[in-house]
Amino acid sequence: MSDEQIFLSELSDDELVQQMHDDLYDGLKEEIEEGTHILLERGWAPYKVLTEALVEGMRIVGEDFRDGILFVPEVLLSANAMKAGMFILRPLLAATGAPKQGKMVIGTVKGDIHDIGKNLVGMMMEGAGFDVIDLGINNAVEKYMAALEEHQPDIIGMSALLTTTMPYMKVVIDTMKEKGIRDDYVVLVGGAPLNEEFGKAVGADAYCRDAAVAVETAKDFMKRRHNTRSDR
Amino acid sequence: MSAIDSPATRRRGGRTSLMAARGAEKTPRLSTINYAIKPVEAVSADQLERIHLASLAILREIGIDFRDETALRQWREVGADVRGERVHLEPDMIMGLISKAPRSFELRSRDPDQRVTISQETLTFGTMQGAPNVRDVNGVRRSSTMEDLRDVNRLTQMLPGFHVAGGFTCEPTDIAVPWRHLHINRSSLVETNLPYFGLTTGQQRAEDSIAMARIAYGEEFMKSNAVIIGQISGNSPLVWDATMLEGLRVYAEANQVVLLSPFVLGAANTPADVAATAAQLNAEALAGLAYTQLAVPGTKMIYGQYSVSVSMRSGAPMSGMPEVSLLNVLVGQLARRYGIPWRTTASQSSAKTFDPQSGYESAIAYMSGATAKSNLFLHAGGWDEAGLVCCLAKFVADAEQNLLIAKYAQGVSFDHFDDALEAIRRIGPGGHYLGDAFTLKRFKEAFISPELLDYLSYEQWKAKGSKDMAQRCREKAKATLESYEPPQIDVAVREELDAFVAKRQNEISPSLA
Ligand code: B1M
Repeated sequence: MSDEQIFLSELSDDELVQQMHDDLYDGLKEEIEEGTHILLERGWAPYKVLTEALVEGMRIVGEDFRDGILFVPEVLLSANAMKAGMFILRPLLAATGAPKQGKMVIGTVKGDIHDIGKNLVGMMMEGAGFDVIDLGINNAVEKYMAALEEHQPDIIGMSALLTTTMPYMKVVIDTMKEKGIRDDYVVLVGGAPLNEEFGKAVGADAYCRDAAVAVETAKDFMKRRHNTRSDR
Repeated sequence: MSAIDSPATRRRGGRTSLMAARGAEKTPRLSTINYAIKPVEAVSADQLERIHLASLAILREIGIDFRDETALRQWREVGADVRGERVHLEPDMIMGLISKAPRSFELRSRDPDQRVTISQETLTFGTMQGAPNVRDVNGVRRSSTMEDLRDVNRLTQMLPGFHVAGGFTCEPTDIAVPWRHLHINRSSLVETNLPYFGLTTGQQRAEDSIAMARIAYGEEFMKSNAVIIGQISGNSPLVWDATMLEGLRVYAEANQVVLLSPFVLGAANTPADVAATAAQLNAEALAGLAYTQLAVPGTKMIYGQYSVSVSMRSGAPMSGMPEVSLLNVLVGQLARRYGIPWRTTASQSSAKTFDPQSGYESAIAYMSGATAKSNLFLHAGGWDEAGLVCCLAKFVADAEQNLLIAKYAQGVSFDHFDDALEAIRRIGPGGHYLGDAFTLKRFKEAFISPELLDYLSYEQWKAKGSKDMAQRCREKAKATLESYEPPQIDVAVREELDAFVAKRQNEISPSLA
């Protein structure tokens, strides 16, 4: 930590981006907002700000979280700073037709009120630049379907902590199949009693053992989507 | 010596008769354990009062959500300040309701001689609950099935260290979800004769649980006797939800026991502070306990709590931590203030195998519960992986630990003090007591001799196959299962249970859709 005052506007582009990586790491919301504005004023494309300043900064945060250096509350602070930057960029990204970072609808399935894990996943996804719509707990298939219709996400995330509620994921996926919309979405599932095998058995695209894996998996699928459908 | 008895009375039958006696010696099932130790206290009376007052302030000023129409109506009827789902409670109302709870009650078993008293002065052991996986007698971890649950119940029945069967100790994942509760209850009643935990998640499952208990015990008997416990988990922070409250009312109306457990994941759903966590937990418990007495006055209830801290590296629950031990002590102090028996989580661990971590965490959880004078040691059998696995090796190890903890709780006896002092006179300086008459008379009861913990020399241990604790325990589990003797149950009762299961399976669709 240094005592000297830093004026973001006086930094070169490279220095500013480096500084924003540090500020994201430290979870400094206002500083990230200011840095985002400055880069935009200097004529940076919104997508370049997003990828080079924000997403790259959060990649470092994610790595250090994975390696046990950063703790949950610190990562949530970083994610919050990231969200603030995203808030500025989102309309500009849409207007310039930049590739989307991705949108996810997530909720715990019918009968399940365990939501600590789901909340953590949601916040980490937001931290990685995803647009997250949280459906809360105890979601019946109808609620998922309505949310898909309303929000047109790329990803649907389902969480379950009970062996009695896990099978409900299949109900949701089967309904998507019946409606012929299964392949329009990436389906990610998670929760402590699940495993890889279960994910496959219910027909999900992937099982995510923790929040960090959820973010990585979501990013992977978004990359593939961009490659296969340049329209989205 | 003139005092020598005549040969006719002195002779005991030599090897044959001793071997027969030792062979027949079976540790009897634990009966009610009466505490004789003084509880440790973590805070002064003034500090305890601060926590108590903070809990009352939380309930009055912040309020607590009851996400259940019936409960909200009942609160309104007695004049509580209900705003939407949020209920604000006045201290007098809470304390008045809580005073209606019995301070002591009995749990009955199908064996008329096996009665357990639950009170602030007693200690009861129950097995773990809720594992989606087992680590079986071969040490293999896999999804648990109905046969695994039956095995766990068989062990519970055979091992002397349990008063209460966990009911849903592990999940029978091979049975359709909507039918599972029927088979879980059936197994509790058929494989064991102990009091047990029924299912509480929703009205139907709770009602079926009570109906099946009535088949085995008789409706009349259950009007005045408790045989089944409903575990009602709170959704911290400050929420009691409908699913659980429906279950609660079914058990209370049937005159059975409810265990209300606020659920602390320290720093995730409570503040990152032990005293304030206790204040929140206590507010949740008080609201739940008071509601129980509002719903059915006089209901037998236990002040529950499940407490772990949370790894700030991942969000994962951590047991055996010092903060959790302190919370135990605080809850003990609070529950004694209210005169309600309380529960601890006895043998929890986050270890992936039955290894030193498992042992350390569990030992700490046990001792913190015992020194804090907890009255129901739940999960005192099998809990590893933060509750995601029931380890059968640990299950039998825990069953033995229960005997040791029971001994500790019963404190220091003065029944033989004078005789023992005589022995000191007899032996004097130097010498030893191993052959002394007093030792011979008392050695079996005076110092407990566990079977699964190993006290051999290295060479002896090697000669016996160099088995570690986990292996010895797996073998013990296997042998116990092989020698399983089912408890007595009337053929007619068994048939009625089967008929009930069949009937309900006809009525309930096995599909979740
Ligand atoms: C893209 O989509 C994705 C991707 C990744 C996803 C994802 C979605 N969702 C999760 N992930 C993954 O990423 C997250 C972050 O890294 C991770 O999330 P997790 O949720 O795994 O991890 C969290 C950060 C921390 N973990 C947790 O928060 C769960 C911890 C344990 C102890 C637990 C808790 C806390 C609770 N519980 Co409950 N609870 C247990 C849990 C035991 C355990 N070891 O898991 C478990 C799951 N519970 C159980 C039970 C039995 C119950 N619980 C119940 C209630 C509760 C509380 C409400 C009290 C509380 C939840 C509070 C809350 N608001 O969430 C009841 C049911 C309520 C209901 N209808 O849902 C009740 C039925 C108990 C009762 N009779 O009252 C057991 C399951 C039984 C079974 N066989 O299925 C249990 C294993 C404990 C046990 N042994 O009893 C990953 O799994």
